[in-house]
Amino acid sequence: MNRGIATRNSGLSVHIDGVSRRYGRVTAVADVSLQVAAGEFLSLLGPSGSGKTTLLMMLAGFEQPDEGRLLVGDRDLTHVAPNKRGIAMVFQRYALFPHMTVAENIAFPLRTRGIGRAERDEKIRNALAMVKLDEYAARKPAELSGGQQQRVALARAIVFDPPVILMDEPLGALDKKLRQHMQVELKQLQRRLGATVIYVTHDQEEALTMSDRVAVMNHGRLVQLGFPRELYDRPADPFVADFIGDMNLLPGTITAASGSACTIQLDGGLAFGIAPHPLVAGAAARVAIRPEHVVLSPARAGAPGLQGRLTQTVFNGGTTVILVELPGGTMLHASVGTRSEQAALQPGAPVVASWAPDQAIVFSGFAPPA
Amino acid sequence: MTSRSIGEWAFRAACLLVLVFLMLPTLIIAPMSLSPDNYLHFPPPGLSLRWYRAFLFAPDWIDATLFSLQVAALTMVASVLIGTAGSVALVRGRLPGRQAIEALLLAPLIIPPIIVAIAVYLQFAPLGLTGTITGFVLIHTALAVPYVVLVVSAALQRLPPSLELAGLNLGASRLTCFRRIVLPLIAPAVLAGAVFAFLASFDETVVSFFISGTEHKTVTRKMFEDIEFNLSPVIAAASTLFVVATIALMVVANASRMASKPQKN
Ligand SMILES: Nc1ncnc2c1ncn2[C@@H]1O[C@H](COP(=O)(O)OP(=O)(O)O)[C@@H](O)[C@H]1O
Ligand SMILES: [Mg+2]
Repeated sequence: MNRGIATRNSGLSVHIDGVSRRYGRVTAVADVSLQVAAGEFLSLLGPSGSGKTTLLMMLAGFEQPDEGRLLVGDRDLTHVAPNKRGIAMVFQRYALFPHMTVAENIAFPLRTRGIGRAERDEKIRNALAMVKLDEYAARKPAELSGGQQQRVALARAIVFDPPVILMDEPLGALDKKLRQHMQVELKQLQRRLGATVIYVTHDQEEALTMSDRVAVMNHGRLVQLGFPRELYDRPADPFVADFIGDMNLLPGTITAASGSACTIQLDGGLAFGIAPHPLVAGAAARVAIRPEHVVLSPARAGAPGLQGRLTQTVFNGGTTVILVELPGGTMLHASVGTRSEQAALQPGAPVVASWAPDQAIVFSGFAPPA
Repeated sequence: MTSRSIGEWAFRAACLLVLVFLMLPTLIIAPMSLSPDNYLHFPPPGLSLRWYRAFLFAPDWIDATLFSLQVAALTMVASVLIGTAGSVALVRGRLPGRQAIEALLLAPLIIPPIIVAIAVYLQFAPLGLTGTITGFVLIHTALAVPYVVLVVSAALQRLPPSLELAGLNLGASRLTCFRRIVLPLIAPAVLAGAVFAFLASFDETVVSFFISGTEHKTVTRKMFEDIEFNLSPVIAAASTLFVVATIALMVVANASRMASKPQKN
């Protein structure tokens, strides 16, 4: 009896193959290739203007790529009309039809598919139950809170069992508490449905917590695709390093490089050894180190590490961020437990900062201006 | 504080004066129409409904009024269809030369009616369109479309495009999106546009003066003729009736336009 959503077919894979889109002189999406597995939750993460929405619009069929192909399962959708693609989209501002009730909104995709009354009613009931809005079928969207409207938009998108669901910053308009709550619910819903989700966000925390994999975009390019942990631990370039989580990026020059050891001199004059690196001596480089990997101790003569002066401590709840000024003016952030000894260090105190060599990542050159 | 309220009162008084100045001719017509006399007088020497009877039972007045109503109704239908479709194309389409088309559509609002009238007369006469209902509806539609375009495109501009995209995404064709999403949401504006178009036609005088025939003439042309030859209070009676009807229609149009404005901020 309980057909419909509970026993739906699972998601389909999505293949984005060398897709570009230009608007006049602006290249909104530049040669992006990306495979999304069936049932995967993939986030497109990047700053505003990096081409995320344009890529999603091309998947939905509202924009036409200048180059490349888009496939869902085995089907080439590149030239298929948007209303024939069968993949759902959840809009940033929900795009609920204001003149229709919640039930009528959810019925819309079922009507366009010619689904009969009885089956329609059952599917609407199921979808409303899924998003916990059983009581609200007869309301108009304007009579609902932002969070409830978001759920209706979700119900309307899942009610016709789409194999792929596109979401463009669907939680962007909600306040932080509600957003975090919806993140969990959305993720659970996606697991239950088995649908493939491509989720656009500029919030790296959201991308890391929800996604199976994350595709980081910048200036229309795909800069890195990986598991959340991978992006955090092994960012491919300084942009990703800086964009995902907090990161110290210290500019310097490679002074000695051999097969087994390298030395880098920071712009402030400090030199220290790093793990072997293909860079040659004399090359400009940047050292990336996570604040939580920085170990601080009160300065002692001969202690290994970078000598600096503590300038400020910032209480963040469970952690405290300590700002250390290195010689030459470079600021180094260290994140320590609020109850640790280090958090008790006073501003002005001379300190020594160090880290395990394998936790420092070295990038060649300088980041292009953002 | 007092100086400000004095300024405010002066401003209000000025507004009121302008309003009275604008309304007075219309308001004076009503008492004049009740005159029992053969000539237009103000104030009227007595009260009678004689001229209302004269208007309502004279075949030539009835014919002209019915002809005007017919032209106005057809004009309304034609200009709502054209104006709404045009608005969708202008607001949602990616037309090359969009601004030029828009300017052209709105041109009848700016071009002096007498110029239009002479041009239309010169075109229509050789084609045998003068004095025909087709001719009237053609030119009145051209004159009324701008009103529909103005109201309807304003409503379309307020409508987030994402609604139509959502409709498409959920499997509806463009036509279904228009019928089930756009049209219900802009309906009040379309209705307001329809009223404006109807009035624009019914009220149109200059072009009608030129292209009326002996058989088919609009009520505006008939009034002109009457002023020239008789100047009896029947004109005042007709005007009063039309003013009342127009006010009623405008109230409908306005209520409709208000309803189309978003309720929340
Ligand atoms: N319709 C359009 N016309 C012109 N430029 C556009 C259009 N849509 C997007 N762009 C440009 O393309 C780039 C990417 O935009 P978008 O995909 O919206 O980025 P994001 O969603 O990551 O913020 C931006 O520089 C934007 O200005
Ligand atoms: Mg965007």
